[in-house]
Amino acid sequence: MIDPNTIEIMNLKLDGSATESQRETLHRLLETDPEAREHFEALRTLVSRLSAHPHVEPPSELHPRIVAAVAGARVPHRTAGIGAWWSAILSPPRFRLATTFGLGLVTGVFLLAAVQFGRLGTWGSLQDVNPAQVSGTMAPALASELLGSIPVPETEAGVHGDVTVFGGPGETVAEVSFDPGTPVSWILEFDPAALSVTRVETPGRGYFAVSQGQVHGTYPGEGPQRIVFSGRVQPVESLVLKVVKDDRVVFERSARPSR
Amino acid sequence: MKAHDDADLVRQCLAGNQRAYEALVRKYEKPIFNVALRMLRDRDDAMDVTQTVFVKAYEKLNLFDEKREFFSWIYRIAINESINLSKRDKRLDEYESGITAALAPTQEDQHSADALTEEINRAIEMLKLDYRMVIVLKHFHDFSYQEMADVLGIPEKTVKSRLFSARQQLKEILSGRGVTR
Repeated sequence: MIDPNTIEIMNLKLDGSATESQRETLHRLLETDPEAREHFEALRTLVSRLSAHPHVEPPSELHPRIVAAVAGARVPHRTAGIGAWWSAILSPPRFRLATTFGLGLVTGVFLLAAVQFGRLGTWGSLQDVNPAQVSGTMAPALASELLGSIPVPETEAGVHGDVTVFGGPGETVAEVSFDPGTPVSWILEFDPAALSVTRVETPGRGYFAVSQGQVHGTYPGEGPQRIVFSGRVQPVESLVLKVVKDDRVVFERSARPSR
Repeated sequence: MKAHDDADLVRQCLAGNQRAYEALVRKYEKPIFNVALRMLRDRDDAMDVTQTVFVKAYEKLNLFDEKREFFSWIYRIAINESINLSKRDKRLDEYESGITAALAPTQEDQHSADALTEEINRAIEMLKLDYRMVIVLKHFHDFSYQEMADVLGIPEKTVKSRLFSARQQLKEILSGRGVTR
């Protein structure tokens, strides 16, 4: 029977953490005690085999999944206040003119965009669509045939809303809408073999993230939000809506075909 | 990339540079996935946990203490998420043959796999969670005692005690299965 103190020294030695005196003690013991020697050899073999285990390569879809999910996450707070940023940018006097000119230019572009598109967008909402997953053109949606819907009863989801699904030639549009004033996180699942996201439209500050077979969105409290797919949904039941609260899915339902 | 680079990436991210966070994802997605996989034994669960870890870390990035190492912080989130999922799925005390499939190599790896690796994987899965964590961090991620203590939030002395006991149990399990030298 080997005493626990000796076993500890053996482990420390194998981890490269034994002191000089511990190493000497162990060395003497191993020379004279066959049982200790056998135990140490077995332990050394185990440690060696454990440490030889290679990392498993994650599936290739993991990275885009994470990126898409992070894009839909709440943006962390900034460390510095806007006041600090403002004073820092203006502090060198020689930059003041350039800064003023730059800000004027940005403001002009912003106002022009507002006039052009009829609403004030945000950089946040643009960033949160994963460009690698989005393709197609900005042609207006052609879908007008009512294909189905997903009613969201307040009694089940804690929020009232619905998803209405329209179809057109080679196109499907899902309109997501909830009661005004309540931000809601949702996931719309679709068959990626049949549909691909062409674009998403949201009023206000809504977030979207598109990954394989899923659109993650945050309803900004005003709507509706529209997800335009290329391809015709078939069957309409393959569209599934999930409502998410506190990182948990609290409601899940497939689309019902219209009659 | 060193720890201070991580801190710099965190600062850039908090300043609004999302690409900085993607760099952190690229750096840590594989080790975090492996932690989750070793803890949970299921690839799909490990992917879910890895995704959740990075989302939570992102959302709480402003709470990250720069005096700490980023990797310790994110590993801790990964350990906690894995434990949560384990508890939720009531898998903590289970030992099932399916674990071998979960940790089994993919088709392309199969040629290099050997029976010993399988046996070691099985034996690790038989350890209780506290022991499994230290084995995973020490031997699959090469953490020092201090780093493990930081990640697990326990004293270094406890880390050593758990690690040595875990190895002892592993040795006994493998010996009982006829896996000796």
